[in-house]
Amino acid sequence: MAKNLRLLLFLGLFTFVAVSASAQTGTIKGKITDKNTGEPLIGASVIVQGTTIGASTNLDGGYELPGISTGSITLEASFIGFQKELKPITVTTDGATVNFELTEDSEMIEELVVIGYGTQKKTDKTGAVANVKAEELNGGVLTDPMQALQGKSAGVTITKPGGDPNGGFAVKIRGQSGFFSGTNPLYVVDGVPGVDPTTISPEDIASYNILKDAGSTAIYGARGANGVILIETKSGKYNSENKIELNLYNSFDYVANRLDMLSADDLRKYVADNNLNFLDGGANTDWQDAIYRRGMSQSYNLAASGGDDNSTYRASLTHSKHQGVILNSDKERTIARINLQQKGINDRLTLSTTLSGTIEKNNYVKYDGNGPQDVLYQAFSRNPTDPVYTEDGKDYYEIERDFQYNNPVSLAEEVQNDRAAKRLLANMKADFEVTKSLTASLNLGYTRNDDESFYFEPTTILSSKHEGYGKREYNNFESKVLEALLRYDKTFNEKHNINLIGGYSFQEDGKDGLKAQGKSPYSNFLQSDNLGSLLNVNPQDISSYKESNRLISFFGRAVYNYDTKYYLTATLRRDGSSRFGNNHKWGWFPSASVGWNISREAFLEDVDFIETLKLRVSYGLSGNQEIDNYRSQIYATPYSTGIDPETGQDAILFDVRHNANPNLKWEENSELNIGIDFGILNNRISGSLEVYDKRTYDLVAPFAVDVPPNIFPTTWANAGEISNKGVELNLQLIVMDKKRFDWKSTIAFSKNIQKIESLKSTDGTFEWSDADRKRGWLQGRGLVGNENWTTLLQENEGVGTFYMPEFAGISDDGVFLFHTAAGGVTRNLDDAERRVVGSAEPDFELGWSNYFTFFNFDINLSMRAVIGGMIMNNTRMIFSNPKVLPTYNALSEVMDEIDKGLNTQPTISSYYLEDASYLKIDNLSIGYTFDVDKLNWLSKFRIYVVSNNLYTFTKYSGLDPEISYDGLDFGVDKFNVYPKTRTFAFGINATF
Amino acid sequence: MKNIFRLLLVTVILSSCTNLDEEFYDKIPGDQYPENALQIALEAAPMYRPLQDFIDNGGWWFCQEVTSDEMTCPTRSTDWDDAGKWRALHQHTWTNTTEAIAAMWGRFYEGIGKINLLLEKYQDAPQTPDLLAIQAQLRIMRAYYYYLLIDNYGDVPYVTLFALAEENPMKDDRAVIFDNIVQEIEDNIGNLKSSTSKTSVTRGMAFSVLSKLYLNAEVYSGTPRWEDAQRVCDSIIDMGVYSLESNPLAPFVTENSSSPENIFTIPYDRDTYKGNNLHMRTLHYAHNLTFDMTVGPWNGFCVMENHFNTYDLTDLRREGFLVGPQYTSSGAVLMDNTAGSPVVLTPNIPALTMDATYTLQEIRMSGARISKFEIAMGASDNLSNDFPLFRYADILLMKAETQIRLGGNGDDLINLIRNRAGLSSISSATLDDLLEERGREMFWEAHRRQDLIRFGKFNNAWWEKAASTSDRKTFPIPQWVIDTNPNLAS
Repeated sequence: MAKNLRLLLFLGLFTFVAVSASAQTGTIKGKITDKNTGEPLIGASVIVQGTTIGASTNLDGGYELPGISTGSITLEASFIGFQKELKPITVTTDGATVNFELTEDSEMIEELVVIGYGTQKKTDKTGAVANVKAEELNGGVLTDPMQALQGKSAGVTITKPGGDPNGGFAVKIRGQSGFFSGTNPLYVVDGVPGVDPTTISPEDIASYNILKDAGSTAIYGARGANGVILIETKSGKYNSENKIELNLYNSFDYVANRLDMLSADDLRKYVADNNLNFLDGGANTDWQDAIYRRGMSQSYNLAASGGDDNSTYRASLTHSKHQGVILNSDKERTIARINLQQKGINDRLTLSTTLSGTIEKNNYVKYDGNGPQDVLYQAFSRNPTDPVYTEDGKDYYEIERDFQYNNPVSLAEEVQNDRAAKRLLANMKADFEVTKSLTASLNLGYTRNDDESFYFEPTTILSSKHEGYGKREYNNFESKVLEALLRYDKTFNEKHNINLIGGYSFQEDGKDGLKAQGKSPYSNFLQSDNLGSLLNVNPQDISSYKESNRLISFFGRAVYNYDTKYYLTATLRRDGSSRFGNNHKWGWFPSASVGWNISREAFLEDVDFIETLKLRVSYGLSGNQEIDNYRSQIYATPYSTGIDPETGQDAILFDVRHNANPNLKWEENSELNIGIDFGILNNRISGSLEVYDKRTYDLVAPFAVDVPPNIFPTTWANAGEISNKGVELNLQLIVMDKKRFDWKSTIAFSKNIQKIESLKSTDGTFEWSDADRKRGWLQGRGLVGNENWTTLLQENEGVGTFYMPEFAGISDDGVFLFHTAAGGVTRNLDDAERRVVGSAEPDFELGWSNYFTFFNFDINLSMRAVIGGMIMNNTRMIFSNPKVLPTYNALSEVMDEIDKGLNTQPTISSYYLEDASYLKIDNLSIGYTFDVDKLNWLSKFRIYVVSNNLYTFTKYSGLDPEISYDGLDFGVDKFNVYPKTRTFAFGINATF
Repeated sequence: MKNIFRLLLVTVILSSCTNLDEEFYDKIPGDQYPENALQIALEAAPMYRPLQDFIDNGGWWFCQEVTSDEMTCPTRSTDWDDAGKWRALHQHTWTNTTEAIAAMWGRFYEGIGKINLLLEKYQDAPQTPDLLAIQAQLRIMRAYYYYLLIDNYGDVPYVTLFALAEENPMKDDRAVIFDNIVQEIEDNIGNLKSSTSKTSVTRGMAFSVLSKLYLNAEVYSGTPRWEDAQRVCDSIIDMGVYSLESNPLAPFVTENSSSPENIFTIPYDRDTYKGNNLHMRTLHYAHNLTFDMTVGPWNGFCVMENHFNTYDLTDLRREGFLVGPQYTSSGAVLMDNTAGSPVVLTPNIPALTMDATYTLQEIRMSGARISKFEIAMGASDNLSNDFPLFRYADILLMKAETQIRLGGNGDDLINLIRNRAGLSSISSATLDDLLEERGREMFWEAHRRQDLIRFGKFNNAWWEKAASTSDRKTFPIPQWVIDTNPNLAS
């Protein structure tokens, strides 16, 4: 196609010959080639700037401009798909030879941004839409494609506490804004909404487009409230050569940070110094060493792509394996993907097909609390004089030093905790050009995510007698999507550009699953692979479920611009969701936005240093329907095993589980966004500044209601409001643009201020009870009382606001002192005043990415800072308390606490609240691309080394200051932080 | 091609374009339940559901026992401090946020709400004899929950409607509720089918509730009803289906579901009906080795020394306590590894709060422990012993009490109980003698608070407890309830 076009242009322009034969003239000749391939460009044009004199290149890429007046002129060479090049020359009567090497204008393709149900030129956008291209993403050892986007776009907070290869990333766009609803953004992969992004290999992703403001997300209606991330995967190109790409790496993963615990000898010294009774286990064990290891990760990605006039293909296969740094935590994933496109009916029909399959295997360890089987808690608390194995080395050493005291190595190695997942995504899309201006599309998508888990606790894992337990579980999810779309594009009188779409969308999701479990295995060998060895199996140990929900929508959008100067966009979506009460199945979601491209105005045309200046304003309503199914309904389910009260026989009892609420509806999000796009100094500095005010109201939560008359004390209803206001700045800097040295830098700055505006419904019917507002509950050895909550949901504060007794010192007899409301000091926790003492929400976030090329080297350096958030360090509270000694181990810090005279049980207060600000070097890669021009079988060969999470600068004393802002209980470190890993990888990218 | 798409589109849009009804698969929609005879028979079973929590987190057992003079939950260093919730019950310094008091209310009204919903549903159904019998059971069970409500909280809202119930009901007078529920039981007993069940509302159960109501009528309504109480106790005795076991601990063995002594029980099962975990609360940490338990117990509750001392050395009911040196199942001395010494349980408890100034032995081994409910070898954290809410021995002692109260003599009945326990007969037993015998016989069965109130002794001072004011005879309405219904604030 491209070749045909070039020929056409060439033929068309070949006839255009300008001859001027007077005065002093010279002839300029030259050749225009593709800088990248060196191939001649046929039909490229050359003109003398400021004149109509010009020519186009012939089949050899050559051109000739005869009869050019002598003097200084500027030549401009251009070609479709390539960047313009200007060359000032001086013409003499001898003429001149001027060659041009044009660079392919990748920008031209990627200047497009993908918006809901369509694309737009970046310069035409009117909403807060960000685009991140493949080459800007983090590379190296990625356990999840979202990791690639970390720190790349302002207002998109992507975090993961700890480094569990099986842990997911929490993605929040412009602050989280829900109580009990899902607050993850909607993912749309190649036009299919609701696809799990982890089923895509990072190597297959072409770009991320992020819709942040309600003006942009309203087209996704009841699912737009948390923002939308549109992922485009790579596909083949028409008329391109077949190529094969190979990407692989191998990495070593190290524990980046560990807790500083007492050694066995430290503990022995403490015992001796204090003359204590102590059972010395006789060993010197570092229990962190015992459960940690050096991990290894590998990834292999092979992709073949190509295309001719009518069809394109791209097929890829990715296999990756991540071995976590805690024993027995692994992830292995294989992804196969095919993208096909085919044109037909005189190029009026385009069929696009995507098929993708993922097979994943996970091996988990449990570390999420202070339970008897939590590997991290047991390792931190375990006495370092206890050996790992018995003397003969055959068994794990177990001793019951106290209640629930178990060997963490045994827990990690002996508990079977595996999962196998299979995912399928099939998507077929037909676009039919009805007329030049009207396109009809039909998009059919099918997703299926099945997983199976295997769980087994042998009878040998605990120090006390253990009955043993086995479980198998299947969970299946499927989603069917049908979307029909009409698109109308037309330009009137060259200046009025109109784009209209109208569509219908139908989505049906279903999930089902099966679980079987039991106790008292007669074999520890069989594990959960043969549940037949379980003796103790009761009714309801076998259970299953099945649910479905539907979302039906009608939507439309009108985009108009006048002379690419004034823009107007309006969207409207009508969404219906089965999840809501009968009175509120359907909702309207409108939006409107305007743009003014100031740089196109006459008064700025002459201002040389401003390339782009555009003002945008958008306002819209979007919704959130991410709550569980059947919340509005009253229904009966098998509730429990019980006794038939009349016969005394075992029976299955049914129960009515819900207060019905026919008024339950979606959460609503209204958002005003003002943005400025700018580009100055030849676009060397460009970017966007956004200011937003986002209000989410009618939040869905279970609210306390009267008992009586209700049967249950809670009803799911809508009440409350959260606001998020903020500023975002995305900057792209071209610092250096030399032929051999190129330095691009991007900066993403964001500041978000979250506030709970209201905790009750407008009519006052539903209100958060005091008990439910208390969040961030802590547990741990020696922590007593039932008021161990740390954050409070309260109006005019953000969700993660710490509301605790304020530490006022330690008394002479070693008891904590707290401030009281009266301005005094108390040693009694009940008399202490709870105060706002900090927040887990950061003040601002900063991402800074740098891309250098230096001769054949390329260097990527990505950093990320989160400044101002705090963490309640429960791990320190428990393990720096002298009372845990000598039965349990403690942090080395305990010695300082003893010196301070601390002599009381762990008690919550601001004493354990720590600044969690951090700066992380997320990604540093150094690559070298070999010159392979002379090899006709190889077109690219690059080797690289990369480190992920190279270093963290922080004052935080725990394992990792990075937290997720998910749910209502974040910002608390409670023995549940898997150590972050520092990885060093070596990799190869080759294209054949 | 286009036509196919068009056809597809039209088909899809016509069939399901705007249908948003939630489809049920794993849940039975409210309007289609119950679907068969078995479900109908069991549909009313959830009325008993709250009972399952009664002796644990439901709070009822704690409120009856920890507030009394027979058992206690001392604070053992940092263990069992639990922000003082046990001390508050022991010393009668509870508030309306004390956990057990807050929990109990919800369980009672959960049962009442379920019953009201079902009664309303059955109102318009054809009134078959089966359905009439079920409705009688529902009404009597509702009366039972209200009996517990007025016993514990005094004035409470008396709600008997579901759909049309007032949003924020007001409190009703304790005496009025008393009259209503007495009437309800008297009216409905006749509709009950004859049944030997111990786990549902039977005539025996209904009479038991009624006898308790009449016995405590003076507390509830200001007017004693001793004759009525005696009449109802006689009705139970005359039924002839209940009798005393020969061994006083037989009603509490693991397999006690057919004990002729038990009238109405919570049918616990270690696997299918969990909730009987009092053994976890009382046994020493190391006792799992005594009973080959699959889990380690929590070392908390114990009998108060004075109460323990009311048992004669020959009293067979002393078998229901663990005291002195303890042994593993194989007969070895049971060691406490943390204290570094053998486990030796002492009846004496040095203090309600034993901080670090007490020895590890005092902290960890004070107080005789309770094994009145047999602890099966190999027990898990839940026992299978059913918990008797009403028991024939109790009925006999209640009748004896009415005899004494009415100026007569209750010796025969009291001696039935004493002789069974291996004790000699008593003559001319006084009310105090009766109360003491009730204490020994009904220990650990959640009757003590009510008994002490009826005998006017609940506000007395005892070990580690000062005398309390008479308003402590009822519990305050929980704060979480007032938060949602301000009408109950005062």
